[in-house]
Amino acid sequence: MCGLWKKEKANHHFPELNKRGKLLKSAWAVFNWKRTMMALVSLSIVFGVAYLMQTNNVATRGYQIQGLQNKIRDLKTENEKLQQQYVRLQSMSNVISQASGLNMVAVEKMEVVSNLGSAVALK
Amino acid sequence: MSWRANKQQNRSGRNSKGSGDQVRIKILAVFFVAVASIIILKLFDLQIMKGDFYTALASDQHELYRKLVPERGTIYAVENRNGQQQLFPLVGNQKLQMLYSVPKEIKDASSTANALFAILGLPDNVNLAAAEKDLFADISADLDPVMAEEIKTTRRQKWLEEQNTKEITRIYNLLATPNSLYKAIRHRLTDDQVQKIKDLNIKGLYFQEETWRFYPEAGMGGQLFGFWGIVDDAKKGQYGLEGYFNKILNGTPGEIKAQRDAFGNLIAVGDNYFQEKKDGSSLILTVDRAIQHKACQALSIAAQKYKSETASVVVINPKTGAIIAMCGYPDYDPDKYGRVDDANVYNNPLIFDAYEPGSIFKAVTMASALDVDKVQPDTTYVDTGGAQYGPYNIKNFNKKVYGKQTMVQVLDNSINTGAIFAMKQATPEVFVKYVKDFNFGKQTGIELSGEVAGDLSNIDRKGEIYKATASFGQGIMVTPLQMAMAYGAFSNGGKLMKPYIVSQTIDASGNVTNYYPQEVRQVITAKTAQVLSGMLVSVVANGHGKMAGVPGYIVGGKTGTAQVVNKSGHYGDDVDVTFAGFAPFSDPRFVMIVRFKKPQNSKEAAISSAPVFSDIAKFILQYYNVPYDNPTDPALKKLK
Repeated sequence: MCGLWKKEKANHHFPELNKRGKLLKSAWAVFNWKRTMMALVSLSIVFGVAYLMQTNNVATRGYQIQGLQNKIRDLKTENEKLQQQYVRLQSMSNVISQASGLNMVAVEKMEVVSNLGSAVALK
Repeated sequence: MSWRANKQQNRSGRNSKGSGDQVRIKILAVFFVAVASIIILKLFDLQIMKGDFYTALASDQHELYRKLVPERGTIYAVENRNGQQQLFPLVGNQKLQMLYSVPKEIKDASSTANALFAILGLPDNVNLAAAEKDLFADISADLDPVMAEEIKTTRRQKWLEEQNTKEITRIYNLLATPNSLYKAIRHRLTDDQVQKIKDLNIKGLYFQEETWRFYPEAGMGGQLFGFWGIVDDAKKGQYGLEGYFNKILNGTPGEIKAQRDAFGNLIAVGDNYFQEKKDGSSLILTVDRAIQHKACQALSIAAQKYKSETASVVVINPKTGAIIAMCGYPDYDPDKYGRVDDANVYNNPLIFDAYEPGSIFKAVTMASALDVDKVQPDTTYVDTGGAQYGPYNIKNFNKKVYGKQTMVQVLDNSINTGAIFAMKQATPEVFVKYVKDFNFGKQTGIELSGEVAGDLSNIDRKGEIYKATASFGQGIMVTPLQMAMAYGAFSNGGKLMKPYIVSQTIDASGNVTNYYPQEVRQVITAKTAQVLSGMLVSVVANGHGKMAGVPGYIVGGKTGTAQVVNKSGHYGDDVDVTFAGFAPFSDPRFVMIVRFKKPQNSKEAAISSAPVFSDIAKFILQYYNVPYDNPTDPALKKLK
């Protein structure tokens, strides 16, 4: 900014602007009511559409999230049921009944293998 | 017409019109009064008669309040899989659906009740097998079998028809109560039932998820677990572990309170309150699943074979006091705890049922006499067949007379007078001190509900006779667990351990609390314990406990056949048979007590409890991969 502005409190580069009200008048001269209205309406439409899209998007995402949450819940339930089934299948009564079905027999006599020790050598 | 005549005419016309208006006004007034009365009556009905209903309905519309129920902790057992310990859930949770109705919304209660019955059938607690006992009670055994079967079939069908009608009526009554907001119809529905009811598409029927306990191993220690039952409209752990650890297993409930808008959405800035729930901790037991199963199964089979009133088995680790297996007979299914005939079955006989232990107590007497160096295994005395105390003559079992006997033979042959001799050698006072040092007469402190201390009041009475009878296990009351802990001390260098059944608790955040073995005291010296163990090995090798032996292993133990006091207060024909033992001798891995109360068959411990001990002991030794003590045992050669 020119240093003289402060000193003189006037714009010496554009002296025609120094007169009070001239600035507003010139601005008013440029202002076009019709265009402004059109711009405002256009903006309203744009923002309106954007808002609708966003709301729609959020709602859709909400449904998607809810759907996924339901899916998680269903999967958790399914997982719990599978775990219970797994545990049931591993129960001793089930294992024993399966073992007899596979013609398995109880071990009556064990063969105990004695440890040779850590040091061995080839002959 | 003059203006006056006109005026007169107008007046008369006005009069007739006025009376018509008045009638109309009156009709209108009556109409308004009627409408007002209807409104007042309706308001009375809505606000006074059905006030609670609509208050609840409105509160549900604009306010949400929910109690957040914490997930109850799981109870795990350990199991040995190829040398590695793994956890297996013995008590878990499962979510099942409950069917309820809003009767106000039900249009046709009768057809709905019939449709629901077609899917649900009879409830679980309707038990035909149990009812048959009464239904067929009057059918004589002498009746022609074909005719008897025909009668049975007819009665069975009639009974089932009655039950069906009863259930349909019950459901109908639940549905046909229009003033009610909520009526529970059936709990624990299967997925298939839920789907079929949904397919009916009947308005007014809803489902609610409920949590129930889940027991994958049926018939495996109901008395140990206890159950999660309803007390004062709330579910609470009762008996066993569920009762003792109720607070830990239960966790802390949370709650949520929030305001709703007109569409039922939650208002973020409303008067909201949220307290998070804290799920319950899980318990890791010291119990081994495989050994527990084996012990329960073997006990149940034997108890039925011997026609025993009750039976119990406990297996402990003598070095730590950890409970490896604990089972009672008759057992109950904690999932159907309400269906027992006698509530006594909830009590764990190992800690609740104090009894006169009989000859297994002779080992305690011998321990006291050995520990004060008043007897040695080869100390002899002469048995005359009885011991006289005033007018009372205490005799040996089966009135046998053994003559000169060593202390080893006293245990081998289970001689009552020998136990009295050992007690007298130690002195009655010292004997009483040792009995108390072994913690008889006190609760062991195990983490299970319903433990009793037993009763030692007799040995505190004046007169040596009370100590004399106690020396062979009569006149005192102990629990099987107390006996197991005493035998544990014999196998643990004389150190008495406190029994424990929970090794760890894990809270919802994963924080682990460990429970460690606790030594109560050194009751006898390690040397006494070793000598006594050797004498107990002799009982199995040479004495009454032969049937407790396991081929290839050195097993120690003692039989006990105790007389039971009958209803008249005297000893009758009934007995309690117990075997207490340990294996292997070189490094005992377990101590076990097997007891049958009032068996009708096999009334001697040597031929009832001892073989069951052997069966379970063999399984445990193989399961633990314990090498043979005696690989050249001739009994091994007979095995395949």
